[in-house]
Amino acid sequence: MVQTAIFWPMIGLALVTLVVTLWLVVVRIKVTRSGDVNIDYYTTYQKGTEPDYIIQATRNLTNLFDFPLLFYVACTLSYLTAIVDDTQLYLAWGYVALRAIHSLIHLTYNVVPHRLGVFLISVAVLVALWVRFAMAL
Amino acid sequence: MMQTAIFWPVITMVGLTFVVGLRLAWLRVSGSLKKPGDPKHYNPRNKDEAPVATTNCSDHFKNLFEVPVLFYTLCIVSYLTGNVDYWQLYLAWAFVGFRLLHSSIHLTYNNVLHRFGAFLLAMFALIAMTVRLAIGL
Repeated sequence: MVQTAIFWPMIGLALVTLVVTLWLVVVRIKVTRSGDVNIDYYTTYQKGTEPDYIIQATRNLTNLFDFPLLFYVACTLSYLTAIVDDTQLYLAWGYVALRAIHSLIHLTYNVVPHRLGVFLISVAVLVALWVRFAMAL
Repeated sequence: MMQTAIFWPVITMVGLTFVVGLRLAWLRVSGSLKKPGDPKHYNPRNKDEAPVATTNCSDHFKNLFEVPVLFYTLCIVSYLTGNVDYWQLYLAWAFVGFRLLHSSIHLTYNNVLHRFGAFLLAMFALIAMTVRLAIGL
């Protein structure tokens, strides 16, 4: 098994993060130029507010720096200890797919139970990645 | 000294993060079931609308992706550079111990001074680990 294969799902999730970041930059420039949001809002993020769809995107970007950080650590450790096998790789790709769906729901129709369901399954996959790492130590 | 020994405090810290994350999911789900159709429980911007146990848990979950991320990095770099010795290992376990205490305080009686004390002690352990690693490089 080529151990570096585990870096591709990591790159995949980093790309999801990049896409959400760029999307957020684009919509923020758009609403600031149209006058829907005063640019002073971005000084402290306390005065005034943004449209819901931007608040949701901001939340999603923040979320991409919560549990996903543990995903990057799990993948790095799996590589370092050379325990990357097919199962670990499938789990990692599964996690990336679920987080991509999670972001897609959050940025579009945002039905909370759907988002919660995808989130919970992604946490279960992440736990599996960590348990497999711990058992291989 | 088994260099991989440093991964057990890492795994413990990750376990704590899963516990707090799932507790937060549980508090939000049960809180919104009591108030059907009220999405405010999901929005930390409406702090006065969500129960204090939920906002504390939400704040704490965020905290677990601040300083602990430096801890993961330090442990990985200590492993990579062959700097895992008893000192580094004890300090890593001390960090995890104080963070467990910090979490327990934040999620229960939440006395700010006690929480601050546990936070500072964990911080000192982390600083000592950093210095220890820098010396060993």
